[in-house]
Amino acid sequence: MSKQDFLDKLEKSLKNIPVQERKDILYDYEEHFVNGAVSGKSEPEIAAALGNPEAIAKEILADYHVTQAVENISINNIARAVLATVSLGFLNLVFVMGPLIGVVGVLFAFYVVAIVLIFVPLLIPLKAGFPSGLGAVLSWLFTSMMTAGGGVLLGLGMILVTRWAGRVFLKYLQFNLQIIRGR
Amino acid sequence: MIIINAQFKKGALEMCVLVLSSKQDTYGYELAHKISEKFQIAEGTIYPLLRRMTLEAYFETYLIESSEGPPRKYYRLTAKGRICMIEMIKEWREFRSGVDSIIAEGVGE
Repeated sequence: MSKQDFLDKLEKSLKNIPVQERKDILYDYEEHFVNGAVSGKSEPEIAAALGNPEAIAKEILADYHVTQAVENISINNIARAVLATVSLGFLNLVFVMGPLIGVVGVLFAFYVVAIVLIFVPLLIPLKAGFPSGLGAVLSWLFTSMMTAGGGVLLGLGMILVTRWAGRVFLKYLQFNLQIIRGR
Repeated sequence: MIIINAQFKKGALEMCVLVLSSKQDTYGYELAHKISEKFQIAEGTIYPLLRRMTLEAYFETYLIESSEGPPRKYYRLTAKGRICMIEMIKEWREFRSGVDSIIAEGVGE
């Protein structure tokens, strides 16, 4: 592989990284090729010793996306961090996707419960007919206040729990990356 | 076995980089060259490592003009980096002597 091929492949694989940072990364490899040439090595020799540019890019990307997600927690950033970590190898698929699916499943179940509770006031008349008489209306009203109120509280609580779970999961991803790097 | 080997090298690489830059400032190619003389690595993995270690303030970098091409990026070990190096060497020696004694007992040397 020539110097240009190597740098092109690396640059292409790093296209998700902002221009300035990407240039910075590529600069190190350009410098490496120049230093190699000075000590009398050919471009293919230098490229072979560097290793596969796509594999190098994967490691850089995983690092970058996890750092981004830690600095700015959002579903989008966490998803990218997960994808980048998973792409590092099969083991990560198991160790990252397994816990992720578990956590997301539990969170999803609680959200469903919250939504159902909020809609119970509408479901009661559907199932049992609209309440007639003062006693029935009052009982419907109080039941509704309890279930809908509980649903709203649970929903709000779940938003907090989700944020917290996101943060914990990112910590786990970082831990995972450190293991991969062998630290 | 291949996986374990790769893990060993990655862990040791960071320590080698720290040690090799502790006597005098160094640049990426020199590090890659010195390390690959001793054991086989993909030299390209040194740069992400250096980047990370610079971000963690183990290194400071500066550029020096070179007659042959682009300016060369030099790495200077910081006090934090030096402390980390000493700690890693200590852990490494304990680990190595532990493993060595287990091997010695097991193989019956």
